[in-house]
Parts: sequence; structure tokens; C-alpha cells
Amino acid sequence: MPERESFVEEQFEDAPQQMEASELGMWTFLATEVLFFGGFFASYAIYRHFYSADFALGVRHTLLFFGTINSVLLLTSGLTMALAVQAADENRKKVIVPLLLVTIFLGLAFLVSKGFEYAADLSDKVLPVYNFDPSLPAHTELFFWFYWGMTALHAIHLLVGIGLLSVMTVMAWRGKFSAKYYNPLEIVGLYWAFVDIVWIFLYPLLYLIGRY
Amino acid sequence: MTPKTQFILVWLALIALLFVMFGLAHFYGHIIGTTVILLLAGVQMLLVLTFFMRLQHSSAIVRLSAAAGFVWLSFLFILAFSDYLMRQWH
Repeated sequence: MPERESFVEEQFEDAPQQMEASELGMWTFLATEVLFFGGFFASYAIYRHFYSADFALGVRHTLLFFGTINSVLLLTSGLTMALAVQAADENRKKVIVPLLLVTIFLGLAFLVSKGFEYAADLSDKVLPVYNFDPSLPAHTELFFWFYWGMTALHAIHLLVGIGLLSVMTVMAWRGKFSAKYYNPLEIVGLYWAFVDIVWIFLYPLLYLIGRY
Repeated sequence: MTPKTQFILVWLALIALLFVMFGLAHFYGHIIGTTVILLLAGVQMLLVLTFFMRLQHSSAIVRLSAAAGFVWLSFLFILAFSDYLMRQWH
């Protein structure tokens, strides 16, 4: 019997089987996340169908500049994350930490930009209930419930992602990853790309459609 | 093509699509503009799923579990809208 490598847990036959189990588990979790955000997207779609004019007015009150910059930041962080996982797969250990640090930086830049955007939103009086411009229609206020709810939920996910990436950076720094074993990095990469996908749909729904 | 080159090309495509969507939103309103913009967002999603999430190299079982969430989400949309769009409102 060949000797088992130390990172293969006892319930698995070998490293590839363990890797596939990690991926399968992560995708199953991501399916629950798709449905979690999906509820928000479905109710947004239903209300947008009924109150399209008021929702379009809401879109014209969101800040396109911040939204677009944030899209570029997040799509680019998706690239650096994918490159980090690929580097581990090819055993190019030295570039993993720098790529992860750039990914973290881009994620933080997104949050900082989002913070400035929220501050500008507050002075534009588009925070429902507490500080909402009374001249805007009631269903535009409903749009802004979705705007704050969906972007805040997304930002929380991004914050969790930055936390996970920090742990991955420390593990990579300590030389825990190699071409044979980088399962944690792989599944954190999947999570990060998922957060990217949520934003890919938030951007057109909250910033673009209805602007014309 | 090395995976690295492939990832960079995918990123360029994502950014290009972003600016096409940005442009479309300023010139086309209503149903056609909306449909095209959402389709382009769908293309962006497929690029991320296929390349950044490496489904191109995944086994069939992993691809199936990746599709599962989206299949159930489509049920949510189809059933919700088959109700809301068919109801007689007074």
C-alpha cells in the first residue's frame, strides 16, 4: 500500500478525491447562496415589473460613477484571484502571496468606494424611512429598500471574502500550499468569484437599466 | 494558450462587456435595451463560471452541482412570474 500524504484526510482514497469533495461541498453551499440572493432578485423583478417608472427614477438617482468604478475593481479582483489559484496549481509558490494581497487590496478599494457612495447617497436623501426626499414617489422608496439591502448584503459577503483571503495569505506565506494541495485556496476562489457574479447583476439592475 | 493568457483575455472581455453595457444604457431604453444588457450580464457570468471558477476543467458531478442553484432559481422566476403575469388585476 503506497504511503498516504499527510494532507489527505482518512476518509478519502487520495488527494484528487479529496479535492473533488471540497469543490462539490463548496458548490453545494454556493447553490444555497444563489437562492439566498435569488429571493432578493426575484422580488426586485416582480416589483420592477409593476412599478417600472418609479424604479427607473430610482436608477437615475444612484451614482453611476461609483457603480462603474466598483465593477472594474471587482472584475479585476476576480482576475487576480483566478491567477493566484492557477499559480498554486502550477506550483509557482512565490507569486501566490502577492496576487492574494492585490486581490485583498482591490476588495478593500471596493468597500472604501462604496462607503463614499453611501455617504453621497445620504446627502442625496435616498435612505428610506430615515432620510428620504419626500418629493420622490413611494415606489422609488421601495427601489431604494432594494438598493440598500442588496448592496449591503453584497458588501457583507465581500467583507467575509476579505477575511477568508487574509487567512489564505497567511497560509500561503507559511508555505501550506503546493500543486498537490491547495483545496482551501481553490474553494475561497470559488466564493470570491460568486461574490463577483452577484455584483455583475446588481450593476445593471441598480445603475443601468432605466437610465435612458 | 497558457491559462494565464486565457485569464487575462477573459478579464479584457469582461471589462469590454461592462463598457458596452454602460454605453447601451445611455442610448437604448425599454424592453430591447433591458434585454440586451441583461443578456450581456449573463455572458459575463458564464465567463466567470467557466474560466475564473474553472468549471471548464471540473468533473461532471461538480458541474451538475454548480448548475443546481441556477436551475432552482429559474423555477423561482418561472413560477413567480407565471402567477404575477397571468393574474387578472382589478
